[in-house]
Amino acid sequence: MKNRFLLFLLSLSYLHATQQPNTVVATINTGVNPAGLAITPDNAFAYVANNNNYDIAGEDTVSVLNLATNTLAHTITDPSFNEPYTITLNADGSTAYVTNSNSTTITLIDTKTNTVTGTIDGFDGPSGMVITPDGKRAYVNNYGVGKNSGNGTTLNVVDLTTNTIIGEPIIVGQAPAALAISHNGQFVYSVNYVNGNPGTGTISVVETHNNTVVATINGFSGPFAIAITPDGNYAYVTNFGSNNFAPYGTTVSAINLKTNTIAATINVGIQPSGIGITPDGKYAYVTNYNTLYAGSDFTDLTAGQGTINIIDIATNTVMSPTIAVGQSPDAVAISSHGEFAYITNYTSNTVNVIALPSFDITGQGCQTANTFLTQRDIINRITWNTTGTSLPVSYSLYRDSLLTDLIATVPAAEPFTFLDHNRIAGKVYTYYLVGTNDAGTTSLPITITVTQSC
Amino acid sequence: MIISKKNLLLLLTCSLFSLSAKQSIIEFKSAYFLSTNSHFKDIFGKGGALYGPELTLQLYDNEPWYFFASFDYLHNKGHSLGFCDKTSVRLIPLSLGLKYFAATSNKNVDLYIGLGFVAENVRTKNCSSFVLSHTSQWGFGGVAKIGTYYTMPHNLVLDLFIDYNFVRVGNNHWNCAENPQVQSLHANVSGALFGAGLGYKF
Repeated sequence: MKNRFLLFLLSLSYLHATQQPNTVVATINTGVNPAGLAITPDNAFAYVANNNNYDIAGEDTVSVLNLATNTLAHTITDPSFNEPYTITLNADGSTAYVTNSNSTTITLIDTKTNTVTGTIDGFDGPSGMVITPDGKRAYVNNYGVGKNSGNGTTLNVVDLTTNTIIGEPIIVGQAPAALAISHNGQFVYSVNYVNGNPGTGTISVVETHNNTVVATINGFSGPFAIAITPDGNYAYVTNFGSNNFAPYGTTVSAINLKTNTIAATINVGIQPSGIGITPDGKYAYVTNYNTLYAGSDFTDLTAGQGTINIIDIATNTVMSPTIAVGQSPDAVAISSHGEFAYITNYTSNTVNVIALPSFDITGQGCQTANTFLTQRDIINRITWNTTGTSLPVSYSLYRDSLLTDLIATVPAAEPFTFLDHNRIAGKVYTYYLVGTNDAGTTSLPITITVTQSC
Repeated sequence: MIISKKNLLLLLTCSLFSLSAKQSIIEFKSAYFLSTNSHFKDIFGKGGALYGPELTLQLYDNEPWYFFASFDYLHNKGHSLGFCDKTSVRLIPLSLGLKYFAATSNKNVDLYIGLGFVAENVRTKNCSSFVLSHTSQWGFGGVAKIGTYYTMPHNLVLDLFIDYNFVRVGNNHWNCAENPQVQSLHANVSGALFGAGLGYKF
């Protein structure tokens, strides 16, 4: 345990020296065609479904990633795995549910031992699963399997106490590709890909009280993934478009969940695939799959540069930077404290780790004095506040924008104040303040100019 | 203008030599120093107790002009303005000047007025890492006096007086040299003295 803690600290110190927000800080090798992934509640491990779309024998696996060291910790194999597509963890993280998209089953993994403990049968190309907040039930979307792939139209309800399908299937739109559940568990949203053509996709809103569709939202173009904001007011849906050929999608739709209408359409990169929203609800991270057929007859599937777009949720606009990642970036998972985003790269067989700006700093400064009978100490008082999901553990204050003239390192203890003594009265001073959280992510500097008296 | 220690000692010695020739009074006085400078008052309060000896010597027989010399001591504590750091001040004014005595209808009572020169040593102690912790400066100015001597039995005298010291301490260039970023201030240590002294008339 002690060695493990030391290893964790060492990894933090290494990351501390290199991490800037919204940059790839690590790349982890996985199995073949990593698709969905889920992070344990303690943010210690991630489980990745290796979809093995190439049908390589023995490569239908689940990778377990150590997120403290950003390394592949374990690979789980089991005969029940058949093109694993998504991973869903229960609330305490003790069980991982793996949807086998090329079969009729879901595989259960005990995350303490990383062993398969059973399967649930009776689905039709399961490709997503959500669990109700009380942990008693799950909803699984049936995309269709084999010749029926892309023709499924149902959701199943699973009793997680008995691990059996209960009730009749819920009829939703064609090709349900992804699911989300409202934070209060009242509604399940089924993202229905249909045929990928512009404007054909739908979202079915299922009321979980009676498992009936209460609304259908139209106007999507190959919708592929969905994420709900922490306040529960909006959902963001990627419009992937047709399956790796034109017309490919380039937008994300923002849905008002109170009115079940599309509130905004945001232009992003080619083939937006996965989406994740930061815990503070400020940003959505969208993967741009960018993998298209080069040949006119659906041949030469070519993966271009995969990228991540960041959507400012307050304005529904894309902000900089666009982050380059591996090939065919697919799913996004964000750690619960908002420190990192994890991206599966379907073609590269990797997971990229992106450091997130998990806090904001605002600061101000003014000039004051400490006056004795025959002497006066002119003091610049620098104060700041910070908000976010993973707040800095220390702050560094510089006199120059190149961050070479460090004047103070201030531990994160309120009040956030630094007094710069022995200044010159009336002179304009400029300071640059950065914060570093316990994940080692250092913010971009904020500028604080002292121009007036306190 | 600076009075050296050597000259000051010479002046006091001359005064003592003349004790036997003319009327003289030696007294120990105590007074309340009431500062009239707002900066001083903000740091140290309105004032404090000041005490010290004073020597008064008649210049010529049967003439009303007297020479006086005194030194006093005041120690006061306060807090800096802005960050409320502890600070203290020691004032040691050395005064030389002339008194004019006016007789009254009561032969035991004399009124006097006086004017003189003051050299004052101002020492501060400051509890801050960002200014000089100890300073010692000389300030110069004047003193105006008004009072009355009441002659009691056995040549004892009671002095009731009001003085006003006007003394200003200059900028410290040495201070700037040690820490050029510390702003040096003029200090005004002027104030009124309300006090009494008990002495012996020779």
